[in-house]
Amino acid sequence: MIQARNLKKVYSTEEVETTALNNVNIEIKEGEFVAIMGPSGCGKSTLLNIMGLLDNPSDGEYHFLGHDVSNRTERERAQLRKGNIGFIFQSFNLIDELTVFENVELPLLYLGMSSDERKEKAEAALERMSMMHRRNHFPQQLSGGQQQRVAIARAVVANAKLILADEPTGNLDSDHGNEVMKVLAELNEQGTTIVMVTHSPHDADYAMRVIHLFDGHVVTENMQEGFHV
Amino acid sequence: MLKNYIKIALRSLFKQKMYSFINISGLALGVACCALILLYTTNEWSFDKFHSKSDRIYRAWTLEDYGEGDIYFNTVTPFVLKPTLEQSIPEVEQIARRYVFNDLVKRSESDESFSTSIQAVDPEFFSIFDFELLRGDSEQLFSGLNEVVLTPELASQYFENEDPLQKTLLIMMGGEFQAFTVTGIIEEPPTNSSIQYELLIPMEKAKTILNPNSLLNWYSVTPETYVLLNDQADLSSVKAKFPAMMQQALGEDYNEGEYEVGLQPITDIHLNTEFPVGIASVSDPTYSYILGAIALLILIIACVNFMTLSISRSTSRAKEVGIRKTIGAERHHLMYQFWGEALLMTVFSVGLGALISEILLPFFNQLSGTQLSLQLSIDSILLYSGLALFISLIAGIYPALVLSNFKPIEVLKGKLQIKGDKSLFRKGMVVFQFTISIFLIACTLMVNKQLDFLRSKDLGFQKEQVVILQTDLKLGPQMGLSRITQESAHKKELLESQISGNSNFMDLASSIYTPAQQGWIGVDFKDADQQTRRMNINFVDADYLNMMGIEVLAGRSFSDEITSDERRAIIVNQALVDDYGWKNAIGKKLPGSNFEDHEIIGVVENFNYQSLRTAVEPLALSINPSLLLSGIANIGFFNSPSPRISLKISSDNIPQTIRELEQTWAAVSPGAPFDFQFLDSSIDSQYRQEERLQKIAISGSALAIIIACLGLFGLASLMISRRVKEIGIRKVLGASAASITLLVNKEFTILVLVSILLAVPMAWYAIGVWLDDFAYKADIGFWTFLLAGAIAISISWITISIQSIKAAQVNPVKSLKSE
Repeated sequence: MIQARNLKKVYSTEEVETTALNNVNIEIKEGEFVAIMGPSGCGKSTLLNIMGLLDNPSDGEYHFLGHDVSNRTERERAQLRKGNIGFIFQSFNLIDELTVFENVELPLLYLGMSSDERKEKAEAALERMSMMHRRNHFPQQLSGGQQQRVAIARAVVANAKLILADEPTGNLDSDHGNEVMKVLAELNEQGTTIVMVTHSPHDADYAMRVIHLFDGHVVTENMQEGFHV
Repeated sequence: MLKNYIKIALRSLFKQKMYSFINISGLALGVACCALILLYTTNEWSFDKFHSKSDRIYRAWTLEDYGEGDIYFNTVTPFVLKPTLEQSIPEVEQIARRYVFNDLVKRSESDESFSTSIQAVDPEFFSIFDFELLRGDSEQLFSGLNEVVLTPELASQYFENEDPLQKTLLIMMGGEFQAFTVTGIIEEPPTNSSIQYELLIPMEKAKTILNPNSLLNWYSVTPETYVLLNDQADLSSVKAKFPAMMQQALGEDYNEGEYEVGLQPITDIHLNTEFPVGIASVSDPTYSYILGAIALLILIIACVNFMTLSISRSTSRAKEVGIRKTIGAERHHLMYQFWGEALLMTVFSVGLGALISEILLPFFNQLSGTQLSLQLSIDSILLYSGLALFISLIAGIYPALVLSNFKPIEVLKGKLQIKGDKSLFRKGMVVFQFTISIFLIACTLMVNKQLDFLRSKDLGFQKEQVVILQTDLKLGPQMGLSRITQESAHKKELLESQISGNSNFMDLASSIYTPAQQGWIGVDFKDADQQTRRMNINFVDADYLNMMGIEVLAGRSFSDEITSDERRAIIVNQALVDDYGWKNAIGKKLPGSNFEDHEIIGVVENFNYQSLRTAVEPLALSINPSLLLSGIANIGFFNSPSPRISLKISSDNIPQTIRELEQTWAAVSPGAPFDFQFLDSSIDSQYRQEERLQKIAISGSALAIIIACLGLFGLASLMISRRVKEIGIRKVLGASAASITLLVNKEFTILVLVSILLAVPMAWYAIGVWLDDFAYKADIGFWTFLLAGAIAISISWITISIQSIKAAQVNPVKSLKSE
């Protein structure tokens, strides 16, 4: 599903040039659950953004679903992203002005689906996350765990093949965190590919494979015990 | 999708109450101004277009040009023009003349009479124009001489609820009341009609009281002549026939190019100030331009608020943009969304603006001197929708472009650097708004200063506590200028004998004209070298100069004791002495050969008998009109001559004095209306246009600064919210609240200072152009600009400080933690 070769990402300001990724080679197959770990500033999120087609690498090749996407315009990347990739963030990133249902429905709107179809799919996704009873609430009225479940519902509503999660439990207490991780594991069991950036070894335990980054390099790749690709 | 956009637009509107309020109220004010001004200008431009034949109706003009600037250009014409045109020009379909005078009208002998504007018109008046005859037979109208047609309002004033048709009305004509029969009721003239009327009588009737010579004379102009050409007529071929027509009409008096006749389209009358004013009123389009410019500036300031605030508050929308983009939104989706929000907000603003304009309409009518009304029509709906679309395009497009261009990862990671944030754009917008505001404030201050100057300037005569009493004496067949002057002197003597001993009345005098009646009578004559000499004249009694406190510079004033004064004495002003190049005027004669025996006995100072727009022109005064009238070649009346008695009264208990005067006047001049005014107020009324401009400038600049400050308030609060961390750190490091306030205010103060630098030369220029209209002007003092700048700086400081003081007092622990 994902092949990255010699990925490089350099951020430059007027005076400083920072290399966030340096010759990163990664391959992720469909159905995998991969955790990316490493200290702050090692390039985890940068890698995730490139994988999620939110950003272009400075150098190297990146193939997503068989397409070479290393140097696409924002418009082309947006087209490929739609319906294929779902995002989950540490800070949930729900739109405060929209209700739970409207937040979940949003990706379908941009896919141009009819209102009946949207209703059906959004309700199914909410049902799956056990959030139907909160469908008319606004994000601020929910607990952190509930907000993240809504965010997950939004990520899966369009049947995304790949879910990218950026520290999904970072803002949650351990109970809610576990709950979210179980949901992700379930999704993975049902066939969704998941790539997750995390600081937490506990969360990483849910993954099949853990990639360690340090200063922009892949340091180790470990298969977790009990998991086989 | 649309539903989603509207939903989110509404919710963010309510969530950010302050910004919504600033944006909507600012825009609404701008819209209200614009709507009112548009209403005003469309009304101005619509004058006389309601006549179905307006494209074929013309007003005739005459131009006499005898060379050396000896030009007489008139839009009132000789009476004979109508029959001449009818005979000579086949394209003429119909012609109606119109002549206006004021006289007394009453219901019956025993009733009280009112001075009413009387219009004498030809019967064609009713078919050329679209004024609807509500009652009566248009075919038979004015077939008799003593017929009168009234507007419904005037009819109900005289006849209340009775049916006015076939009733009798008494109209003062040629010195006696004559009976007229009401044969028609005609609709009130629309407000956008140059031709206004309330009482119409046949032209043939009016002719009976006019000097028979003037009816045949080509050099005496009285009525306006309206010409309806047939629908095949070609204007240029009609015009080509005029010289031959004049040659035939004038016979041996005809010299090529000396007497021209022309046609002015009726729709051109209202706003064309190049033509001399006839009977129809003319409006100076300058005031529409000034009004329009102010409205546009206010609207632009409001739009700029909208833009800068939208971009500044985009930090709070950035996250949403990021999320939408990550989950699949493309740029155009977001552009539509943000533009749609702008549109929604403008729709609110326009709705509110329409409401505000309805509320402000009476005030605006007062400002602009109009009687406009707002009606809900297809036109007004189109106008408002067009305005909403236009504003949302202007104000919404730029924010939509900026917001939709955010990179999702940057905004989601909080690394956003808004492009406009530090760039010149936002600062430029603030400078732009304040430049306009300071410009308007400076102009307002200068208009105030000039008006104060006009009101307080020493005019060279006593203007306080002088009552002007209008006599009912008017020119007529048996009433020449000499006769009415004598009659007036007689009435004055009667009045004097009645009030002598009453300490409320200090002095009185009689004259044909009083100050603030334009240029009195303008005359010219040829001197021995055949050079045209011009001067203004007035006829006064022996007491006038003394009573008015006009200083005699050389010689003496008129005297009752010296009997020859009435016969041969003339007094001139210093301007005449200078103009004629004399060293000593006393004992001299006017340099025209036809004057009766006379002698200049005194020279008075240049008192301002005209408005201060004009420098004092040469003036000659005599007691006896024939003395000055005998030697002149041409005469022009600025107002029809009608004697007035000026009374100097004591400043104690003025209402009581006026009551006494009214009673005395009723005894001296039975049946005449008691028509008086105070000299100082009629002098002030010459500057009504300027007063209107003053009011417009004050309201315009107040609105501009209010809207600009609304924007500044919003900007300051946004800027502070972004600098919360910086302020927190500075406080931890020991900064005082005062120094923080100063820090924030400094940034904006620099912008206001730049605005002052930009606004001063603009205001300087504009004020200079305006002051050019005045012969006497106040100095454009530097303090005016200093004051305008100081006002702008203090208002902006108050606005910003509300925010910055609040921010400076926040406990740094709190602000750093929340960051």
